[in-house]
Amino acid sequence: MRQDKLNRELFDLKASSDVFAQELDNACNWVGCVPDTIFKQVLPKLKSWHLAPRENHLIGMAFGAGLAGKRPAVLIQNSGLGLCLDALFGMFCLYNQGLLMIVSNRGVLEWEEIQHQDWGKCTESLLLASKIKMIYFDEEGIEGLKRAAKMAFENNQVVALMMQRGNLDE
Amino acid sequence: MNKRIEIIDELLKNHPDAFFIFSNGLTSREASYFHPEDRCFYLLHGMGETLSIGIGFAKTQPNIEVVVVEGDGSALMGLASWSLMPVKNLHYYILANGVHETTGGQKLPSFPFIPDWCSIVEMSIGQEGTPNPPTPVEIMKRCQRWLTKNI
Repeated sequence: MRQDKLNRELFDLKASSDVFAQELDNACNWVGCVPDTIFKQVLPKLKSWHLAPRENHLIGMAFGAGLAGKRPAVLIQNSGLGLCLDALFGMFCLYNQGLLMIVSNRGVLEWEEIQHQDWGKCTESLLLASKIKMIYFDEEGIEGLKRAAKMAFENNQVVALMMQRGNLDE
Repeated sequence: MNKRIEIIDELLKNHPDAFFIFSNGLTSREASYFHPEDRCFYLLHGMGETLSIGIGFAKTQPNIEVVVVEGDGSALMGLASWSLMPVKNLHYYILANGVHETTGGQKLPSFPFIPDWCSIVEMSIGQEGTPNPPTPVEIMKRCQRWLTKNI
């Protein structure tokens, strides 16, 4: 763990936003997002990305891009899982298509705002119950991103890359 | 007013080279049974996401004409995706009978507005008898035949 300028606890920095964006562009050729603070330095460094108004529509767009021949990735906050789980089941899981889902795991650290705390407590259990494979960026860093993408597109499944606050420069 | 299947038949004829995406429920069910075509993707679930799939596809393949056909209940559920329209190579048709027909005919609210890129096609209430729709594997298999040739 490390501390930010305000002496708040953060998870270790695992990659710069430049490296993360470059590796994401290498692994996937379609990226969509409902923005979250954790990704704010990554987005402008990507070759291109698509904004969606809600996470469920982001999953729909990613599925359409996948049908059209792309390897899709989405970046979402963990709270977005509450909106997009049915879309994941009804499209990517039902039709056995690959998706790299990069999830910022907000609300895990004690100082994080109260509105994130419930999601911090239940995100991993929810993904586990949903039988969605998780890979932890905090443990594996960039190699985890590469492994998650490989697993998603070789096995045609949804793989969640879990990002902790502090793992990227914000 | 026309029946659902008559409207679907006409849309397929009017867009002979397009890739079609049909919403879940009776739209996909009747389309897949009466007009099975490799250029059609039939949603079995994911209500409210038909247009967002079409947008993702159409923006990725700007040279392919894409047609999205969905029921009015599904369209209302997906209203936020309207913020991403229009998309040049995407045609959007809503089959409107004013009710959630599959679940017992519950009346739907009206659309708050109708943009010029959205075609509302009024249809009668009622359905054709159909067997279970194709499996997801079968749908993808057929669809991939067309996609492989055209992408």
